[in-house]
Amino acid sequence: MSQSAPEAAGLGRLFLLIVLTETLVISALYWFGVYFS
Amino acid sequence: MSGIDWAIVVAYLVWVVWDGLRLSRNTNAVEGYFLAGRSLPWWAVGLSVMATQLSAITMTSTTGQGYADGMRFVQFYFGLPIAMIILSVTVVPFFWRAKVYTAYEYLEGRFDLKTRTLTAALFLISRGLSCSVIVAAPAVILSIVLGWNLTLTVLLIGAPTVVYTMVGGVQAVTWTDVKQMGIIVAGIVAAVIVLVASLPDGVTFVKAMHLAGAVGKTRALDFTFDVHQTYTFWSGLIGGLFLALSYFGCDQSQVQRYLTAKSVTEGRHSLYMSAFVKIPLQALILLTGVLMFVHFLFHRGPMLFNSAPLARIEASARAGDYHSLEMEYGQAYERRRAAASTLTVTSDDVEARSAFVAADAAVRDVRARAVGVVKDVTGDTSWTDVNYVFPTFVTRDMPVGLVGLIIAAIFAAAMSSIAAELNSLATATVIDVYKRLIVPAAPDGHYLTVSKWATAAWGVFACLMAVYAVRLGSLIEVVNRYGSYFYGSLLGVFILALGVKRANGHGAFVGLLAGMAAVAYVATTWGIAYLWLNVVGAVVVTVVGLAVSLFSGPARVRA
Repeated sequence: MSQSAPEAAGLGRLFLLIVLTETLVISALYWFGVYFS
Repeated sequence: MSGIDWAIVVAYLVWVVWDGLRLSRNTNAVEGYFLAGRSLPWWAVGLSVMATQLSAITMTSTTGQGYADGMRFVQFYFGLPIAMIILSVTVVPFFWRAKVYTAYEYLEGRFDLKTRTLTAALFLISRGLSCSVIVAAPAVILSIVLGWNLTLTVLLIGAPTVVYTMVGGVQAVTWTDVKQMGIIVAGIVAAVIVLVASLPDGVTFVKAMHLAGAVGKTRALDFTFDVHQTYTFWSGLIGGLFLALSYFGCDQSQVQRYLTAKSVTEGRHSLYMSAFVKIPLQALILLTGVLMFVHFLFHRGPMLFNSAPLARIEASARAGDYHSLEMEYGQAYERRRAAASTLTVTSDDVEARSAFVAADAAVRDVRARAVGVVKDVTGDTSWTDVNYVFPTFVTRDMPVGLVGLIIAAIFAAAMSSIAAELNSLATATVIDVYKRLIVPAAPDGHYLTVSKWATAAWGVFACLMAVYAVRLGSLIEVVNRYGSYFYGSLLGVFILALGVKRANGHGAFVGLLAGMAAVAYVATTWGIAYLWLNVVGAVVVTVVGLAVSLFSGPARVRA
């Protein structure tokens, strides 16, 4: 399934944003547990 | 439940049917009925995806998990955002551009009829049964907690859902899902606010979390790599990734959501909504459970939250044992409350902390022995009251008005999932079975009529099975277990279809059977946690499918 270059770049940025958000949320959950335990 | 709360629940039920029927447009053709003419915006589809996944079982059992086990269940969802990324560049464009109605229809074009029929049949059997469980689980809980008749509760959940799904098709399902999601979130937020507001004087939210943290309930992450442990970071990230890929990529109840989107881009965006929101939402639901744990430190709850077996215990030889445990529970509870109060004023004191941890262990010990009595008397070795904690809190300790809102939210969670399942079951029945195998050339109006009756038939089946399932208790567990046998293997078929050019129909068919057999064997002999079964199924199907394909001739690849 081929994609145009601008579309692929847009998807790439979105994926990066999803991965960064997930990393932040998981880190927050980790520190939540550490802080309150 | 007060008159006001009843009025809220009844008003919700009337409104949801009226709204579903009002918003059903373009349902005079099969494509409009099942796919909304591929016209829906991403945010509506995204909310529908989330509402479909968030059933009443999630509301009651996830909050119960938070109460009993803390935040660790959130790890289950760690693979989901990555799955959404993978699906958005693989199955979403493939399915959408192939203009198919069902995921299984695509498999005939790529492989052959037998692979399509087998996967559609597996979906119909597993989803048909799980739909009845989705009706039964909240019906049982509400009937016990609220004292309602079980058949009435099943009908209250099932009948309105069948009516608007049958008449309005996927348009009604999606637009009611959007509003039901709003009601669900409002209900959860209201519960959190009440739980925080009901903390005793001097116990702030931070102190409440320190209390929960002292007994390990705030720890969300466990980095142990042990395939026998159900919820760890790795099982959630890897096993959860495979489960999410299977569920969102191969299960018609989810695939059909994004096939209704206006375009491939809108379909992708609908999945990104889950990628961003799912983990925080599940964390909030689990936090509700953790807050309930703190709530019941200071407000005495029942020893067991499910009162259904009490009459049988009273009539049994173990009645005396149970009464002794109740007295012991009262004393253990008071000691734990005192220890919790002491710890809130001396938060860094090691002795106070140890005393609280010991007092909590004593309460848990009494509860465990009481559960043992129930198991002994009822003979139900899997008996648990975890799913009853949230409904008990709502009906006992929530203010008038909010009780109605949360009961309506539980109804909304159940109905949004059931509606999507009925709609997808009808789609697979009509497109993959009726139109493909029984009556292949009839006018569109004929298939539309059959589609509506198929929706109604699946609804009646789900409600009847729900009443029956309740009597069989462990059937719920069997259905859930069967789902995990099937999901990873189905994912393997789609990996072969989309990612392995040399795969053919024989390979996919044999691979699917081998995958399910391997999962059944591993599940019964190795005892690994069920999330890993999805990995086993997908890998075995892919490997066996490829091997059989290589030995059985050239692939038939769809252009």
